[in-house]
Amino acid sequence: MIEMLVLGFEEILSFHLLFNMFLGTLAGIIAGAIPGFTITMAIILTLPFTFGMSPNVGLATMLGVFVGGLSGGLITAALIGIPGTPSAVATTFDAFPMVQKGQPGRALGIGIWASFFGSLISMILLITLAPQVANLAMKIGPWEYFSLIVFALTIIASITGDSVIKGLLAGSLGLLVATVGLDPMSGFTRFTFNIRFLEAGVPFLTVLIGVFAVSRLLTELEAKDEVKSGEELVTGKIKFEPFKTMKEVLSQPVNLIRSSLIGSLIGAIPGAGASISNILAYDQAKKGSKHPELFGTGIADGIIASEAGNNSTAGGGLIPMIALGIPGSAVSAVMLAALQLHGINPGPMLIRNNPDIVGTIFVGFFVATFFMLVIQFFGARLFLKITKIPKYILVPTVMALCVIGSYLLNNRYSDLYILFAMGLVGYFLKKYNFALAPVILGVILGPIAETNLRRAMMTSSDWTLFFTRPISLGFLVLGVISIGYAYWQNNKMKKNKAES
Amino acid sequence: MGELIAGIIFLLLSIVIFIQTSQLPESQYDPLGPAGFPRLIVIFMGILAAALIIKKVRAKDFEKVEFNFKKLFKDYKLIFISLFNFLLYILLMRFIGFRISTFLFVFLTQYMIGPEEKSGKTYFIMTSIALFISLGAYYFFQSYLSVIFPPGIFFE
Repeated sequence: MIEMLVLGFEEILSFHLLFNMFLGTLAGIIAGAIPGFTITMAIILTLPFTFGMSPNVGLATMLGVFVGGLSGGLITAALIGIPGTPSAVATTFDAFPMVQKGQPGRALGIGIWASFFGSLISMILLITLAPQVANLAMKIGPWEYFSLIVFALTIIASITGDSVIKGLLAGSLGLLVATVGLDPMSGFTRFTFNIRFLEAGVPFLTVLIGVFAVSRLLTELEAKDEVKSGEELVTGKIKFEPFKTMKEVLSQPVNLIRSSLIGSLIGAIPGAGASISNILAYDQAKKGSKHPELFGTGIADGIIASEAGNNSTAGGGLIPMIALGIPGSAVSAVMLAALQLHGINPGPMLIRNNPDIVGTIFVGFFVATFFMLVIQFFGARLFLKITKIPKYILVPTVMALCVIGSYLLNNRYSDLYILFAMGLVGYFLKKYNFALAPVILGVILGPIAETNLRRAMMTSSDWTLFFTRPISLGFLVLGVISIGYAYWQNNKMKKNKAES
Repeated sequence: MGELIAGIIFLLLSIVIFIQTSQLPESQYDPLGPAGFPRLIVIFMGILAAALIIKKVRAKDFEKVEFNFKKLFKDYKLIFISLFNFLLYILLMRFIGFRISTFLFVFLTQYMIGPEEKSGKTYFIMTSIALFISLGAYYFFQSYLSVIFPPGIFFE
């Protein structure tokens, strides 16, 4: 193990590699900040650049893009309330209210440090536990997957804002939207009502941008007089205190470590990723907190949970890749492709045959995390200037960027119609106090749940397997506890409110 | 009141989709088939919608809702303007092209929702931003990412 790390250090300490990795991290942060751009797209775009590099340099650069991208979503999530990447959805819950309270510097600072420590913790897990975690992840079949998704869906019950019924309705809407279009397992198209372009389905990113971004932008326009007078997004003086925010993050070790563990574990499971882990970590932080009613008002706990949760999926996601040569996500799939292009055969023997590559990944991840910290902190003062832009300029500009982001996805003009429709839906849901996050959760998780449920039933019509297979049962039990706890906590909060 | 309407819409949606699922085929290899999962979802949705409707009707708090369209339009003027422009932007893009439609959308919307009195400096900023977004995005994404935005009939 030590020899591998030493080899890694030897590879990393070259100006050429460090320079490319720095650029990669910067590009990742920018890509992560633009709603609709996605980390996956950024990594795919990095691939051709790496052809001319040695495998170590290419890998290190991609790692930089990956780590940078996961933290880039924080910027737009906090400053304009729009998640730059799906992994920053839960960040908007508390970072944006904190910015609205006039503390954008604090929101960014906490998010950056939480991303940094989350990354570090997952890296430690990666180095120490890679083989064991990978073996566990391999025991997962369609029953376990389905139960995991059911568990993830029960979180909807706790992020529903004031009404569980409305939150579940929003979640089921998301689930339904995801069924529109071609059903991959049977080849039949569903619920297109003869509209041709719906046959391709509804891309979840378009739903995310429409429901979150467009509705958020329209809401900004409700304060008619403020907009007309040229008011900025955040008024007042902006303070940025790196050391103070670091101490704030470190003052919540339980939250930090738990969120990072959740992110690492979810990252290690092939298919699940940062989009789920940030919300799961937020949910668990809220459940474990002594003041759950403050979540959503702009408290540090929520930001720490979400950002540590999403950045730690990076380390977790590398575990199946290194230990088994299996991609845990689209990002690691591209990294594996890069390795293959350079003639390296990823697989269970990677550690034995190419210890320098594995060492590069370990050390590279560590260095990328530091680069991310540095870039974010130096860039923060620049990013914070966004809050000084008048709303009447910001809103149309970001709306145009949303259109660009949606179009970039598939180069498909019809996606823009879906964007508009989802924007309207999101605005109305928001107007009538429906929580929006459950819609996104439904759209992301629905297809995974359906595929695995049908696969499980096709493998064996014995539905008791969901309960007799231990890991599957475990997730289902967690799901039941999750709903029960959410209900109990919600009732307690209502009682406390009534008493005070 | 709005929540009651939302509940009714959800209920109607679940009924419509459930009827649609009857047109989907069954399969002996796939016990659930393409209809199974959506049916589960809309049954769940229908029950929730009914619960919401009952809850709202029981609460009996229908404020006298006057649909004063004039007041509605006045309060939400900026939103109507932006949405209308947004829709036009998307619809016209394929005809007049990405660059022109984006420029027009960004510039005109800023103009219409911004302050009434604008200085020369304001016009300069609005124009520069509109130009930067429309031309910048077009050429950047085309050159580096090979994304082809609709060029429009003037340039084809």
